[in-house]
Amino acid sequence: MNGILVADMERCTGCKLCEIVCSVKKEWVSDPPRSRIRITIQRGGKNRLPTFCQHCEEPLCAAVCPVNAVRKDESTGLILLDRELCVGCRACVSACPLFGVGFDSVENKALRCDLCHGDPACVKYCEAGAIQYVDRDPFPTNKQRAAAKKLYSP
Amino acid sequence: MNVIAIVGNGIAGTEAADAARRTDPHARVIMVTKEPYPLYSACILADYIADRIPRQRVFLRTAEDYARAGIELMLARPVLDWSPERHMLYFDDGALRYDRLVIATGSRPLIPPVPGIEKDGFVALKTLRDADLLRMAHGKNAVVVGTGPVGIEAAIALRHRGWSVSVVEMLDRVLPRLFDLPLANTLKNRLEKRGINIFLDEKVLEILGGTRVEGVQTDRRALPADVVVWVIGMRPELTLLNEGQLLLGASGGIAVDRHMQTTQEGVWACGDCVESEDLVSGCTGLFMLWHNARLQGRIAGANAAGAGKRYPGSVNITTINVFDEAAASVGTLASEVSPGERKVLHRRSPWGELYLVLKDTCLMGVQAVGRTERVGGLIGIMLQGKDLRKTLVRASSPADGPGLGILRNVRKDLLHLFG
Repeated sequence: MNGILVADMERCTGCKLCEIVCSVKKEWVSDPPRSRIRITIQRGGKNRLPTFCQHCEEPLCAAVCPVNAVRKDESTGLILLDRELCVGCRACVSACPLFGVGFDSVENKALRCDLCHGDPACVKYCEAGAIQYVDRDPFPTNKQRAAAKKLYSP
Repeated sequence: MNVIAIVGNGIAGTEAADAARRTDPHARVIMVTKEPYPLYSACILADYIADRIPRQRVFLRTAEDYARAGIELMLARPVLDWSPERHMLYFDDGALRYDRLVIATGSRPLIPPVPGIEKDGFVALKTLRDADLLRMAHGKNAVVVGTGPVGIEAAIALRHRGWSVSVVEMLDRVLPRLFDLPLANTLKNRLEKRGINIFLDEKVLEILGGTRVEGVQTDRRALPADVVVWVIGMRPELTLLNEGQLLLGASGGIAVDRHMQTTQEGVWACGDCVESEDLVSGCTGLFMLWHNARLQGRIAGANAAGAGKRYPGSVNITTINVFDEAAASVGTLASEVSPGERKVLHRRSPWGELYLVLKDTCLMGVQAVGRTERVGGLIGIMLQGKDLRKTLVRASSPADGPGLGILRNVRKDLLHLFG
């Protein structure tokens, strides 16, 4: 597995089906606030922005975690959250520059997209084709990843 | 064989040891510390005090983890003396010769000479031992002195344990280094609603009692207390240094260059004991935050092992949970910007509050109560330091990203503010 989610903001209709699908698949309940992908609709509804973890190379969210629950998986390069360790301090939620981390206020733990282990459910249900699961390498200049890197590269 | 010695086993020291190990697989990496425990997270001591997590969850490493990583760990070995000329560290029962040294001694609580601080029941909260002491304390009334994040979290934790808690702060608001008055007031109200008494603009004059703490005398009242939690701030722990061995900065922390190297050849420093540059304001100071320590440790450790990495500067973002809702702050406070250039925008919405601090048309600070991802979302815009007027006048594009989206939602108000 070496893919990444890419969102096409112009195709996104803002239907938020992905949020429902994600929460059902991951939490077994239709509860969009507990989804790992979120659609932010700006005032006026003109821009719709799907946000999810971008699996940055040098993530600030992993640095701020007081219990080292956010770690990079060395084999896949994904930034994964160990929910057993998470104490729900929300430091990673505040630190992500890209709205990539959600918060589950039922279990009091952070929410992070793990790409459904290579088979993301949201992609399958996005009728507009706004979310795509693509090979990671052809997108080294993916705008959001590049922006994240520019923001903070030690 | 090169010997890389690291003094201190907090997050900065541990990350430094790991980085040194990775960079130079052949060197001996030795960590010495006065702490009796392997790495634990001081940030979650409040969760432990409140019984939200068991004691073992505070620990992030075991002694075996260090051995497995190829790091020699010497616990409970305070360094009594240091000779930079001879490259030696001295203990009460021996000495250690090193080739490269990383100082990661962290910080200690700031305790001014207030009468009565030697009494039983007075706890300056910093280490796991202090948290243990607080959990073992008996009584009914607790007084927390200081309203930084540690103080507020301690007050909430003690409230959870059933104590009657009073908080005393010398300044005009709670969390004075994180929030300006409007948001600090929101948080104060929330704390008071949950039964924590807050006394602002009050100075502690004396800790009352015999051998045990019985109360706290401020300049306005006497508060009964069975335990006093003293958390007015931290200072760099520099007892290792003798006069003139290392150059200190104006803030009192060790001065380091971009590579985390001190003014001594072959000596690096990282974590709470160094001063660093704030990426947003460009000011140099003490920014004792977990992630700064971690990132500095990585740089210092790698460079001590021969790498040439640079530390970009500190991002001073802090998140605090005040009874199930988060608040976060990054950058400069409005009270730190000169009144002539200062502009602020305060927005209330059903899900919380947002407070933007601007210097002319530049975003300098963001504070939020609830939906704290907005704080992170605006970090990028703050770091770019762009003229927001130009950015906001431009037509919106789908590629704007989440940060600009937040600002576009308050576009009219911002442009009005810019005149």
